[in-house]
Amino acid sequence: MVRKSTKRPLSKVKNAGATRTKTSRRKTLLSNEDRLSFSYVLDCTKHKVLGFSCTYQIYINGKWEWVVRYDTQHGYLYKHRRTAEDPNGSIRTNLTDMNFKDYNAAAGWVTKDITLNWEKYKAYFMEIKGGSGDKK
Amino acid sequence: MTKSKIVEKNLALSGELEDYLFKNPSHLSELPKDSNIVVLNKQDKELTQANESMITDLKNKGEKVVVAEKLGKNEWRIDFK
Repeated sequence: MVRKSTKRPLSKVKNAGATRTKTSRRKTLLSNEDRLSFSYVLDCTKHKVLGFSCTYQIYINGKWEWVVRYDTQHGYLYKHRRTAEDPNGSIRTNLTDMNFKDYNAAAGWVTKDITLNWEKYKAYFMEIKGGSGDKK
Repeated sequence: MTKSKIVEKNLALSGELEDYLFKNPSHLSELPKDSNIVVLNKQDKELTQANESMITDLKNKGEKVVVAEKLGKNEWRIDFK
């Protein structure tokens, strides 16, 4: 579900093409079967974050599958979750109404959301995938 | 320590690391592309033991590992080797 909003974007990135940007990608391991993948778009000149995405992934059946993903496309924070209707698709929610003051605040909220709900997200994913997985 | 507890503790530490990296974005550009970060907090011996074993597993698989160790509040040592 995508909700339209008239709120101001987190950051105006329309001039991003004029600046020297770099994408930084990395994975933070949480266990042998859980990880967070981060991707940042950085303004190399001003050392500023112009956008990010964060994905919670689990290792199942020999590959890493994404469970929940957040990104700041077009300057707004979106959350994507896998759906039961289409196990390979996802449902997108616009979190614009949360009105984060900057990317740092948005990223802080994202890691907090995963910390509080990762077990629920994982259990739901396992349910729709019909897998058993390692619960604990 | 259960796997669930390890994930919870690592998530909490990751959140702190993210906050630090956002405040110090120059480190973000220094991180090797597609690196695997493992967070450590020497104050938590059990977690350190679990994460060090994860580091060994990754290195044995030939993966690039970056160790981020929490030294104090908003203070991290990032080993890029």
